[in-house]
Amino acid sequence: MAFDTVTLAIFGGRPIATESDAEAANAGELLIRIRTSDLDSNVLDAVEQQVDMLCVDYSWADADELLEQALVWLDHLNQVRSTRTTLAEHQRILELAGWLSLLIGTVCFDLADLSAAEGARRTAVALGKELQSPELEAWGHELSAWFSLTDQRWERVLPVTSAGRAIAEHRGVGAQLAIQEAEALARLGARREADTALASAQTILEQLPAPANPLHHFSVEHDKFDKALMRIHLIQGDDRRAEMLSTELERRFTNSDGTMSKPMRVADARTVRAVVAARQGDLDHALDLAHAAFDIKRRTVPTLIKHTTELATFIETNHPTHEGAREFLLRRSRLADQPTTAQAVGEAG
Amino acid sequence: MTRPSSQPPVDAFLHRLGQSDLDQESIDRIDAAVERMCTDYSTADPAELSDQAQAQLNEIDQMLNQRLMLGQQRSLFEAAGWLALLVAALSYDQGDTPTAERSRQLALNIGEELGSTSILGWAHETDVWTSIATADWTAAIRKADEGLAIIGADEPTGVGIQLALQQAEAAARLGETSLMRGSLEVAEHQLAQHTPPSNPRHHFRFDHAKFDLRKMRVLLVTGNDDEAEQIARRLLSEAEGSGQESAHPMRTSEILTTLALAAVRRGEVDQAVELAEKALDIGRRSTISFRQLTAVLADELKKHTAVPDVSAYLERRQEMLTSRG
Repeated sequence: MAFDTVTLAIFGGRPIATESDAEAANAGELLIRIRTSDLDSNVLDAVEQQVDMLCVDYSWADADELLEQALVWLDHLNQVRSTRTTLAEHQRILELAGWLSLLIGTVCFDLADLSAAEGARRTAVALGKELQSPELEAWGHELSAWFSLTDQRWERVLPVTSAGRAIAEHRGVGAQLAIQEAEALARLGARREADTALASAQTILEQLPAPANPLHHFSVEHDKFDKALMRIHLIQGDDRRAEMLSTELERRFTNSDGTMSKPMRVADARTVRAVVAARQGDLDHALDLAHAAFDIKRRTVPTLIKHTTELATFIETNHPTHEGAREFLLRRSRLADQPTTAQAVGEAG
Repeated sequence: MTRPSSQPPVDAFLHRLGQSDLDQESIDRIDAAVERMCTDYSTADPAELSDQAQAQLNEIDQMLNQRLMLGQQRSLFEAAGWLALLVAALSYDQGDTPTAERSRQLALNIGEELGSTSILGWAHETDVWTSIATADWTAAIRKADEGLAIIGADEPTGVGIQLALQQAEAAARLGETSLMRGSLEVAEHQLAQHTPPSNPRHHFRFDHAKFDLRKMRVLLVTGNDDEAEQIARRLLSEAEGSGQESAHPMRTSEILTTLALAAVRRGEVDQAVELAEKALDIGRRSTISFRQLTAVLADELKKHTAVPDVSAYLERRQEMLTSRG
């Protein structure tokens, strides 16, 4: 155990005397002990590395496996909580638990386990408050806004994003919240306000330092902005721009061997082009694209359902008897309880 | 592989993050004990109180082995910080400088870990106090500056007022009048903005009544005896009127010594000796500051050794000092 190392690291090399001379037998020894730690300082470095890896793997790895791993590390942190630590170590344990909670909330939502997702989100917010970490707390709001957006409760999004933005200020998560606000405003038909929100997201993004780890799920980068812009173009009826951006993003997240670096973003892009095709009257192409989006193994179920809502409504209204269309509707309604391992990533192309 | 939404682990794992082995009552009990001990500082037997404080630190040490919420750990560290400061003050009073310095260092470290400007401020205050007690005025001025630089305007215990007053006193001893006036101004400005503490007897809360005492000391040093005596008389009558005389023996002792000094300088030797003896009866605690406080008086009285009571006083004072050595 590295008591001295930890003490030295935290207190800038000014530890109090550690020799236990006779004079110090009572108060002295006790006073030294008060600030000791039983935690091996490497443990938290190791856990942090694992948490970061899971956050990087989020965009492509199997959701069930991600959840399982995240829970293993959360359990480990829970065990570490029973160890005597310094205050700084304790804060770090909770901070790691906070990021894991956010990841767990996100993955549970992808798996359509909404109550677990909300529980994890609330845990992250509570930890953010306890740690006075605006970053964690703001991401808790981001998840909440995402849940409401996916639930198509646009009016619920705005108070959440505005509370989150007040906390996040110019951090990356602030840009992400502004992006969410822009989508909600676009859905509510507030075109100008949506543009303003997008512009402030862009301003924040431009002023951010280059992310240390752009692949980390909680690192906000321009891809997230482009994804939102694509969706907003579609909402606002700018089909040409939406389609162009969709094609561009699918290419960006597809590797040369056909596998996908960010499968959920590819699915997202495909649903946009599916809607555009349907609007142009090309039902078969729209269905092909929608199926191609459903085929992707790594998915976020509620979002996939949300992004095919317009297509489903279009079919129910205009082609209620079309056989291929009915197959699509059936598949869509079963998304939530489909085994996620049924298809291999390769199949999705 | 799909996780049915009813599967419990996620909630169970999250729930465990909020569990603690320590209840709030234990934290409240410790906070109350710390408050009581810091309040008892001026009246309790220092060795006894020091033992109590160390026993409490021991209990906190045990509690820190348990699974705690972050807020609970912070509370325990904060309690430990004040106890360390208390042990430091008591150890200085008893002449145990090594323990005092060790405790003060612990308080500094805890203050840094907590980011508590109050604990850091009082750790500096203790340091300034020892410099003043050993007549190292230059160091006192520098250390007071360091302390003042740490604390912000909204620091709740009023340690900034105390530090500025200490600096004024050290400047007065050096004859640096303009620094003394500047420091007094800083102190008065901070006093005006500070809410008087709900428990002014807490050793680490600036008691607004102490302000006049410190000002009196500074005035005395710079030779403004009349003004100092005026303040001393007012304070003494206030203390007598409210029956607080015995609650603050060291303060009363200082007031009496001030009056004695003013009296002897006026040539009223009999009255001076009477007041000085009364101060000795009460002020038998803080040896270093006592030594210093009465040294000036003793020097003045030595000019009047023809008066029999003067020699008796000087002998008694010497006896007390050596018995504490």
